[in-house]
Amino acid sequence: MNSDKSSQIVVGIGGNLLPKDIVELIKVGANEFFVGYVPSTWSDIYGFATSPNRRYWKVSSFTNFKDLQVAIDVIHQHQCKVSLAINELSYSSKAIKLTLDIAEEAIRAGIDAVIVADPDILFNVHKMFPKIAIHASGEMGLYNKCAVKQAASWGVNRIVLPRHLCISEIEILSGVSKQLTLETEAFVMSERCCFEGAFCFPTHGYLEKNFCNDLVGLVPFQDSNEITDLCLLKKIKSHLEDYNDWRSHEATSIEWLGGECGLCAVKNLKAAGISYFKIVGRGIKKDTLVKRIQAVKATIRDAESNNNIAFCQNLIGDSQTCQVGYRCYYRD
Amino acid sequence: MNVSLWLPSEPGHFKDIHDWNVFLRENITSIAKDQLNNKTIFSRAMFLLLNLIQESPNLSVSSLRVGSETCLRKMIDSTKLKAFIKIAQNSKVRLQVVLPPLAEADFAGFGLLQSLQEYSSSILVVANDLGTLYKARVEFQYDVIAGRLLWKRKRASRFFGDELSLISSNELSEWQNITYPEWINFLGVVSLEIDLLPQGVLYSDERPCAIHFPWTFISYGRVCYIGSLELKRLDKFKITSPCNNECIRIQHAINDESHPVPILRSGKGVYCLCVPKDTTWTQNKSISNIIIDLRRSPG
Repeated sequence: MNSDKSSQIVVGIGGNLLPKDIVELIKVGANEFFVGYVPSTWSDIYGFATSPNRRYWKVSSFTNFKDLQVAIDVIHQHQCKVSLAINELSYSSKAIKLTLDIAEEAIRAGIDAVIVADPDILFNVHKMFPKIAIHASGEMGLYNKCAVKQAASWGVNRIVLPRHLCISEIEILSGVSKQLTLETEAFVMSERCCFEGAFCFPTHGYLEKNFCNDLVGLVPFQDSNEITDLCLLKKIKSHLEDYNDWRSHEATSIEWLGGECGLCAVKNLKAAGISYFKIVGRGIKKDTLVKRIQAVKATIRDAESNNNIAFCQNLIGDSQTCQVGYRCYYRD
Repeated sequence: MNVSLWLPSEPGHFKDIHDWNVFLRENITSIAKDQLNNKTIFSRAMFLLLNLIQESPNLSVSSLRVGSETCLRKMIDSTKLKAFIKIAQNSKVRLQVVLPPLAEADFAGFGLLQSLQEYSSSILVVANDLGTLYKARVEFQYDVIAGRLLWKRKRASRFFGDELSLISSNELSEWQNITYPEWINFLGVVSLEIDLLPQGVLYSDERPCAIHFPWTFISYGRVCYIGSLELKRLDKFKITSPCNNECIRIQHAINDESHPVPILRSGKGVYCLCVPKDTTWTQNKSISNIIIDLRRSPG
């Protein structure tokens, strides 16, 4: 376990992991976990592609109470904490009731906090379970000080910062969070999206590819007409190839990375006041998560004494990837 | 039915809202006729508007709006803004100023809200993120509208017509059970804006909303896909990358007229062209007004 309370590693896990897997993740450095829970009361009605937790595949969530209970117990036995993600952007009135039932079950099983994105869910959780800690999901879209203040006034205890922020912006949000005694959490590994989760409304989970892949075949227009200038077409084509390199999780040879990383920003994130470092991982295999946690833990340790860019690049093991910067969470 | 016109960045020679009413009917008719043989997404948008105008003789421009819901760099400067405020004042309506989601750095370098305070009774701020809504309402005491980026319902733009039947009725009903976000009320907004949905359903709450037509918003990214077109590879796709407003000139779209829900990528936003079977949706009593976008492309 990492005893440094100023640098905690938060890992998403799915129902695919066994209790012994979770123990292994703790042993390599995980301090906190977050999970989704989709019991049959939900899946019998909606399936998994309509989700209460922003993940649309069965493997990403726990699906029965017993497994959830066992996972929570194992995590608690190792003095770690676990949160429940109910961070869909919005719910119908029927789905809100089901989601609150899910929260109630998870709280009964011992969950330590809930992660929310929809303020209506936040109000309901706060009212029904006043003692449970509330984390504002990155999907809540808290981009500025006013949003953080608003969330704090609604009873939020921790801010998960949205994916696309500069370190300088994080510094400001972290500063105001500290004044309001809020914890702050930032992404450092995997699944950076080209869109903002707080403002992305298409369906996922029904089709083989994600929505952003649907956009690859679009045709360029100039001033509302199809482009005929061959030079411009060539330039746009080349630019979009770069864009797809930047956008696509698959555009890296480092499979365990899961797309993107913010390792070399850890030192600056710590200096900016971030205490919780988030690794996306719900539904990911244990061995991959182990590698991600080890990398983040080693980086945190190195950041105490060194300027850890070279150290991170060595960990990643692909200087070309780091040089181009397209796999970076924090490029500014 | 009241119409709010989303105007291009130039006030032009228009003096008051009457001129815009004339423009709405005459120019859209003329532009659409010019594009009879053009089957692009843009001409389809124009034909949809033409159809709406022809089928709904009671449409009347009652408010004007300017600004951008996706990018600060598409906002007009304060001089032009004041010219628009004057047009709105001449017509005894309030100008709606649309703001994109704003991060803290955007606030710092953006004195627009502050510079407009002397006109606060003449404008309505359309905010598209929680913090901007709070700042405009609480810190600056503007009257605010919650923009459609704050109406976070699923937009099923990936399913076309009969394909929706592949989705279970329960799941579909979850998408179609359109409720009013109660939390909006806590922030004292004047009204909420919504989209006409590709899944073909309409908002069914009794509380009035304004509805966008014909472009339905789908997604937004802080990193613009086209803005760094002219930059070197290593400098591209950064939040702070400079741009030359390439998004105004260049967009990407599905160019297939048989596609029932064509998609348009415009700068930081992704939209679909919502193609309803008819115009009966305009009869929905919960719709207080229709927002018609007269700009070359949404965003």
